[in-house]
Amino acid sequence: MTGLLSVRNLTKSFGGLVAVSQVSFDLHSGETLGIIGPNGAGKSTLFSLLTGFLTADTGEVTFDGRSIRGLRPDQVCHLGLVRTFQIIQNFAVLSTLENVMVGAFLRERKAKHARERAWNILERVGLAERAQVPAGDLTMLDQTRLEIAKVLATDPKIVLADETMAGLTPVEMHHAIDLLLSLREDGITFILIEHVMHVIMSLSDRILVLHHGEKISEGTPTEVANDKGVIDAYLGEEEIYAGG
Amino acid sequence: MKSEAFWEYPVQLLVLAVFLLLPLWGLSSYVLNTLIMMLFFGFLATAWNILGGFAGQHSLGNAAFVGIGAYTSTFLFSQYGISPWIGMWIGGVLAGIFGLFLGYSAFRCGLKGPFFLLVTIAAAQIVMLVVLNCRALGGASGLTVPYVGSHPALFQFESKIAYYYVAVGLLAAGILVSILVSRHRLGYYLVAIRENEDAACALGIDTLHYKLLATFLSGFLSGLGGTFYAQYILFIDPESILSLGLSIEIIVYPILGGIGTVLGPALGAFILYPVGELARSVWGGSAAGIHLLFYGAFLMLCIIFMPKGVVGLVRRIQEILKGKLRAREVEALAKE
Repeated sequence: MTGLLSVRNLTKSFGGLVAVSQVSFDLHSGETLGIIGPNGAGKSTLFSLLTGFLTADTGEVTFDGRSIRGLRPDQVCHLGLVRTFQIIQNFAVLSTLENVMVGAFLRERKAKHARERAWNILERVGLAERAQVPAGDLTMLDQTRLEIAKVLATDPKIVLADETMAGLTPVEMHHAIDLLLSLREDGITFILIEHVMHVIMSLSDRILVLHHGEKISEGTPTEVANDKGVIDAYLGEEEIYAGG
Repeated sequence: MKSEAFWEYPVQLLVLAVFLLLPLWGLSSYVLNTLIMMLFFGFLATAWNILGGFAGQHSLGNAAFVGIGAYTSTFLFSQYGISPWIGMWIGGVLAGIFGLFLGYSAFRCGLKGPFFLLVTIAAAQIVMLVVLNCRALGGASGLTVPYVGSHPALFQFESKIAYYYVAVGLLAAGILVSILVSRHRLGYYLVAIRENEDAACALGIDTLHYKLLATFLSGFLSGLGGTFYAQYILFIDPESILSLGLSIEIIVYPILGGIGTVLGPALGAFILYPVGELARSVWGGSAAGIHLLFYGAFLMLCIIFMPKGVVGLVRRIQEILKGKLRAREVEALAKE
């Protein structure tokens, strides 16, 4: 059975380095898939491949019944597959509201309607009070909220969130997890990349583990946590860290 | 798009009214000429700003757009007797199409920043060289617009005042277009592209498409300006209307006034053009180049003390005043 998103044998190399190798998985509507793996495992590259920022060498990506391989990022976004970035990419001189309006314009031509839509989303993510503040002046947590708000404004079917929690304090992280959980309850389908284990374990229905660009494990959080290959991959990395 | 502060609108209308009433003063021909050129450059700077300011794609080849507009309407008028009022639109569209061609070649390859700048310089130089070597367009000796006396239907007037009003109309139209762009989806998208192209793309913006739209609009408006220049001066040649010098002059005004703001580019021209004119009239007769020295020094001081242009300075003062007000409120609250 195939779901909303189906990835088959996706491969991408940069020169001699195979960043993503023969990765396949399926994602069903309403599900949250976590992607973990040591640094350089190919997680962000996988996101770029799915959202059109990079084109795969081989393999196939089917979204909502049609192939999206080779489409540009804006075309992929139109279809309902949107990403956030690992390093927050807000439009710093624009206000928080205007940032979200940029996303909202995808579905609303008129500025008035885009503004209304943006307001609703700002209220949803708890940013309404900061609506008129330039995005560059927001706290880290609010920038993270804004990153999610912009993406939500495009009315996505799947949100690919790349290390949303990066740079947050534990307390802020707690707020961000609550936000993602509540969005998940609203039925938004997520693919998450996350380094913080307890975050990804508590948010994901299913987890996919990448190592050196290959999928080494896939399953429920408990299954993955007990997978010997996964433990080896992570412990192996720690040894390298200790040695270096 | 950063929306303009509300007070700027009544001010704009007031300024427009002042400009409309100004000739009643009985201004000398010299002052009138300075005002006309100031408005003309304000218009070209406003046109540049749509691509260079909103979309952040700095062009140093806008003279090509102006030249294409001027040469098109003048050629059609002198060869086929087509009224420059009509030739103006054709010239504008041709300049816009040239912009599309230029933008497509550059943006398609992902050129931005200094690389886009270089391409625009090169493209404008190519246009100039083509015209210089084209006999039908007068080559280096230029084209003279056939003089028909006072003939409004053919865009020729006896009095400078009429040209003055046309210039006011042009600039008002340019600013109106800027306001409309900044208030609509196009303006938001252009600023998003300027601020962060990848993020804009991720949010579903076809960045190439919108950059090309901005290039067309910018080129089209500049082309209209070219026809105005030709009809006002009644003579065009590559040196005056296609040179790098003109491109540089067009970019200086927005830098001074405030890149990416609706009013900044025109404001820059309103300040800098008269200063240049003044310097020339005061020192132009004495040792060669002194007026340019003065002009250059003034420009440098402006850029050092107003890095975000006049509009940026006004906004900062506004913020400081607001901050003081707030501080006073807080103090009052503390006393209670």
